[in-house]
Amino acid sequence: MRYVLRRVVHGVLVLVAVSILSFLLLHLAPGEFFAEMRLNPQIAPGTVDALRAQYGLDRALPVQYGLWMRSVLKGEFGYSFAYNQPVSSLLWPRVLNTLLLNTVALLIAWLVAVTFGTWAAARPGKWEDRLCSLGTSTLLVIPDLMLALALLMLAVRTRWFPSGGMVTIDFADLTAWSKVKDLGAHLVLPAAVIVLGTFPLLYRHVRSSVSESLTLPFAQAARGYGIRRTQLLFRQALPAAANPLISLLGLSFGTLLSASLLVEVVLSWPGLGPMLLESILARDVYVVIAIVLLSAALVILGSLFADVLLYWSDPRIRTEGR
Amino acid sequence: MDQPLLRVRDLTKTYTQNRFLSRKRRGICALRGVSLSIRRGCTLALVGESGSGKSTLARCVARLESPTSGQIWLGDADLTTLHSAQLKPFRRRIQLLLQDSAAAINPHFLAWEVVSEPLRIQHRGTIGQEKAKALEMMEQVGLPKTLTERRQHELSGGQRQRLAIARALILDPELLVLDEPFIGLDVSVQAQIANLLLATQKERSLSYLLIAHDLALASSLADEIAVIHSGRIIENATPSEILQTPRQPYTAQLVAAACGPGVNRARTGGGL
Amino acid sequence: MTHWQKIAVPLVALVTVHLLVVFAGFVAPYDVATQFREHPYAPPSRAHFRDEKGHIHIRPFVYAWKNNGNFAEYEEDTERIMPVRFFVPGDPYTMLHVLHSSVHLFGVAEPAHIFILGSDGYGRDQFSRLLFGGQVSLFSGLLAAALSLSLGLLFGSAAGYYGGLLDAVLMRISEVFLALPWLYLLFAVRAFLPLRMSAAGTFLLLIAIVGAVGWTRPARLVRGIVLSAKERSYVLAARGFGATEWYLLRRHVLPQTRGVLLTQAAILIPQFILAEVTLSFLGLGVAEPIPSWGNMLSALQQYNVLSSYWWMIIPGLVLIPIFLSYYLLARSLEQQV
Repeated sequence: MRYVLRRVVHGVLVLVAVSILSFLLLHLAPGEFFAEMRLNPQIAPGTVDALRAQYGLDRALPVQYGLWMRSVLKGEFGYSFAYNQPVSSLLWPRVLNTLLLNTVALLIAWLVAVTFGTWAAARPGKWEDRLCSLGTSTLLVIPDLMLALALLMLAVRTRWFPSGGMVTIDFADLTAWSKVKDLGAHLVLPAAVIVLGTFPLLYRHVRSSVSESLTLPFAQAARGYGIRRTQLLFRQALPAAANPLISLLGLSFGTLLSASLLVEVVLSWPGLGPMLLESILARDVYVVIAIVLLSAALVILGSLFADVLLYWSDPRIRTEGR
Repeated sequence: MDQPLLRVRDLTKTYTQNRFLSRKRRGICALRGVSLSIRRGCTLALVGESGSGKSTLARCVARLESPTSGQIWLGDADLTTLHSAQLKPFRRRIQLLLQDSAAAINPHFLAWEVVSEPLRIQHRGTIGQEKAKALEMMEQVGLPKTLTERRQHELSGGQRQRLAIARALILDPELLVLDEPFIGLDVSVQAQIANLLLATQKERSLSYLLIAHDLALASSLADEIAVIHSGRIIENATPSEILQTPRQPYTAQLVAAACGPGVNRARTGGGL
Repeated sequence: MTHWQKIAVPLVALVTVHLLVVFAGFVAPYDVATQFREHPYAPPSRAHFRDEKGHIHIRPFVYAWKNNGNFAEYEEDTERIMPVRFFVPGDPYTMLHVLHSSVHLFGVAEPAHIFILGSDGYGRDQFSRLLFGGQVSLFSGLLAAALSLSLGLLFGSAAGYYGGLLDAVLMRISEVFLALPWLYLLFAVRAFLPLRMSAAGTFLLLIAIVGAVGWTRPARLVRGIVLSAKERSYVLAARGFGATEWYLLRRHVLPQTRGVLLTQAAILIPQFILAEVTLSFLGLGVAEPIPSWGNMLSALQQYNVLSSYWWMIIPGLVLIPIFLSYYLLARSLEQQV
């Protein structure tokens, strides 16, 4: 428990450092920045002037930072000039959408990777193994952008799946079950792209971890007394391989979110990605900073989650910690 | 020349382990008030078990580490008072042969590059001159010409040791500190290396500080033996005195371990 | 396949691609800005050897596209045979800032056009733009990787060799960099810099950002190597001969990093090429009229392009064999280390 607390504090410190660096970067090109903001038709000039007092837009940097910090503590995380609302209320639904997409994609990717990886590890060198390796290596070499565009092209031409967005226009009028189906249909494409982009590397790691644990003495011993192969794989080898895999999980959240950023933009999934792009182009400063911090927070939380999972699953770490 | 070449007086070395932000400072005392001296052209063997402080003393004398207190006199100069820039000329005069020759030679270097490296560091001429000198040195230690372009993993243990010796000799030092030079070598190869060392010593009037844990081998090469135990010199005498009349009980143990029944290997003036 | 073959084959492929791109002026039939407004979204020209009457021609030829005013439908005008000629005069160009010429590798006479990969919405030849765009995309990846590796070598060896405060500070800073997903980090840095700049400025800016953001991984790897190398006995031995710290770094420690740096190069270059392509695709990178594979692909964000003009995705497809080559190279290099 103390370990978790320490990590949380460390994470908060990192977030503070990121926020400070963002503000510093912001002031590398100040005049240019605000001039561009003024030119932006989306932001009413009255808004800019009205907010200047509240956020100290052209006052000294530490003052600005302090005012922003106060807004953070109030729960607002700054103000969006383009949307005329506090940043937190703007971003909250977006975060949920991104989380939905990423969680679904993560689960599927891991499921596929673990299934195929374990299966291939049990048949090293045979054609199934070689085929999987070839397939995943091919996928590794294809950039995410191309996967997204290719699948989008497919969707547009065949109309099997909706080619963008999260829900259809009359979503609110659908029944509960239809809502789920509609959401699911929209999820297929973006989740598929993320899965295709991330599972090959996971597959590689699963396969090598499982095949390594199959060579360990206890696995050989188990085979000695005639254990069934599936039981060997899933009850013995896989749990032994779990340790490095969970660590891998902890490190993979950054890549996952990056993939999701691109996919959200290309496939118009209303998550943090498109919002970030929009606010960069619109010079909506506080939204940009908030999204950047959110992404860092998600990565930190993810790795913390993985560490807790590791602690809970691996009895060796628990005794070591004492 | 009556004055000894090397005089070590009251050398103390304590290693402190500082853990960041901890109260305790654990110190390991490797050397406690060690004193010894070596005359020109003579060999002093330092014998002791692992952890007795032999390697630490070797490093201090070669000034790869600074002692906590005490003095090291080379001729008229106290090495402990000099800092790194002033030490450079003295580095030429004392050379250290490290314990594991395979680890002490960069595996990517060619054999002649290994031997010429000290010349390069001390800026002793052009590459061509350095190479020529290196080849000459290699010949002197008995390494055939075919080996000059080889890398260290392509050499046998004995050849590697000769390479290390060639490197140590190329700056023409006055004192050579040899840290366990016979470890890991076959008995016959040990004999060859020992002969090489003796011959070189005669030719160049070299002094040796020989670090060993094998009393028998040390006594056949040394003019004087110092026994070190837990960082202290407990006995210092000629080999025949040590072997026949050991004064300290620890020394007696070493003698008993080293010599089988009836083997008296006191140095009589010849080689093995 | 022998080990050297495994490295040579992808390397040769990559060098060929880069040479083609460097000599884009010569290889491409048209200039990047030349617009043929009456042929927007023309499909790729088809090369024929046999004409309507059944005669076989040795020299390949194309038909001009005609569209009867309806830009959605193109059909070949089989009345005139337009042979493909080689080493033809065309738009003037400058290669490598010194070579002036107007001879192109191949072309056809007016009024036909040879659109090997079709044309875009302004009637610009996609093949030519692909080659010139490759200059931007491929070389920004290369230069950014060079920058990253240099920074990584500098910081990693400083941290590993001198340790102490320097090491602690650098490691903390790299932690902040690693806390963000890389694309978010890239966007964040890009966000605060001017959006509208000259083409050259944007190019350099992209290289600087991508390179500066990517130093952490190579730095950590270099640091690890330096940490273990500086403790080796042969370093100690060299110190015994009076070597300076700089000599030790130069002769004994840094050469050990060569393997890691090469492998990292093969891994980072495709990632950085992709970074430029992604940024340009989203409008944050190189802007029109300078082509980059990224901004060429951004046309696909329009529905009609996506559904009807399949050749517009080719700039993305070329990435695949290039990435494959880098991937194979990285694998072979890793095995060597």
